[in-house]
Amino acid sequence: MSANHATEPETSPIEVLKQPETLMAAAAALGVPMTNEILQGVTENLNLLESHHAKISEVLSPQ
Amino acid sequence: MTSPMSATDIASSVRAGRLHASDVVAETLKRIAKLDPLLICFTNILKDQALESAAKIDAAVAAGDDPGPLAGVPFAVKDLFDVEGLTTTAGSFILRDAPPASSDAKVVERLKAAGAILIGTLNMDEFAYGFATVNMHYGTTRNPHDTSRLAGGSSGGSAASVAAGLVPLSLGSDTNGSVRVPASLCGIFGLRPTHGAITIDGTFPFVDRLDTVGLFTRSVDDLRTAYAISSDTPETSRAPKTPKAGLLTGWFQSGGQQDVLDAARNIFEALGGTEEINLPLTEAARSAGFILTASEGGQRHLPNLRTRPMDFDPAVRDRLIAGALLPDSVVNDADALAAIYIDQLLTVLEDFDVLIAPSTPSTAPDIAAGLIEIDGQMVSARANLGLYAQPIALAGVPVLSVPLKRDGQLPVGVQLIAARGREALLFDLADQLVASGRVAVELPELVSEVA
Repeated sequence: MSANHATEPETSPIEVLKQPETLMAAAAALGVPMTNEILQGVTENLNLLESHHAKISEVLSPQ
Repeated sequence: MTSPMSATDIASSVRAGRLHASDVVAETLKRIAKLDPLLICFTNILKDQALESAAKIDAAVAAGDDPGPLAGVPFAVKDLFDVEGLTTTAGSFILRDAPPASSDAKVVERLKAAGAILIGTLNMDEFAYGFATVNMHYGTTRNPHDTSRLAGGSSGGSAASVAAGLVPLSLGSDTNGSVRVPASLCGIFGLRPTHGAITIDGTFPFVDRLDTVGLFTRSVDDLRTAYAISSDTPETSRAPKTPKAGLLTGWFQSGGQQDVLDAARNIFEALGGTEEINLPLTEAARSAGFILTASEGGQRHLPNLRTRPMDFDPAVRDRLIAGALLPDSVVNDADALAAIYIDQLLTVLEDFDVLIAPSTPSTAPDIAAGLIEIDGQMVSARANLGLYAQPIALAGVPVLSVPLKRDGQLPVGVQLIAARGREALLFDLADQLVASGRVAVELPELVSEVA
């Protein structure tokens, strides 16, 4: 890994998923309807799950 | 109305012919009629069947037969255990119209075969996803010690019904803390046994690797008796005279209410503990539990999330959908972390008879606010009451939440954690703590008001 790569923070997979277009496409692929109300609640929960994943990544990532 | 009796006292009196099971059931139904409208523990009351079962027990005793070690003992079950003839709702609206169960869950069968009498089914968080028993379809179960406060969840009806003296024994389930959390807030004993020690056959699932059938009682003897009957692998490992006790620190001694953290230290000292153990991966392990639960729960409920999303409690639905959407790489990371943590915890348990940690980060929170304070921040009680219970669940080890003696203050529990298969050791330690006066079940004032 180059020095540049080592200093660039990796985008988390949940951060990618949360992008509106990606999220709508993922929900459609799953067959789950995504109303505005559901979208808001799901996004809030994904934020929470992202923070949990960050804690795990901190441990698992090579120092 | 008399004071509520323990399961073992009822059984010995019924077996000896000093007490009729019919009278026990009649008294139980009277107590439920008085208190349940206030507490909202029950989702079904099986009055006719219970009276019929009691009559059979009395007839057996009169004929000189022994109806079993739980003769005439009223019990109730979380509404995710199959009960023949009833629809298992798992606290949901979606399953309300499902066909009734064709047979009892295996553990219900076992308790009935030992003479226990099923009184009804009990309220819970929808699909067991929550630590509060705030259920938009069936109501919020209230804490018998202060009805403006939460009973905890997801087995809130199971804990509150025992704490309020409605029944001496109930069944719940503990995926991430759903027995230990309400046991702590309601001030009773709550056992999460070794994963798989009590069969889950005939229960509505949540997360296979974590789902564990648990028991609630007001006495250690009742717990010991009920566990011996319910479990597949009764065992006899006893507590040594001087158990080696360790206090879990770090994550388990931070964030929560100070008197709750002190409660764990109090029990540690009572057991003569000297060593403190910090498992530095605990916070990440809790996160792993959170992710694995959301993912598996989400996948399990996908069919209904696709077709009937508006029939879920929105708070549960959105958690489940988010979980179902999680990329595999995230779930794999959670899996990897869980494996490392389980290994660490089991290794520590090779050196200790018991590890000690608080059961909940606070006493029972106010229902209206629905919040608890963690590290100075107000956060959702429903999601965070399991802060100290959730990481331990990953390891599948037995944990007994014991109620600290608090003299009129709101109850709080402490987790006694042992190696797999060492439930009997936990019962012995609980006996020692009761004898020392540090642990006690205190009946709520409203019980004496109806007595």
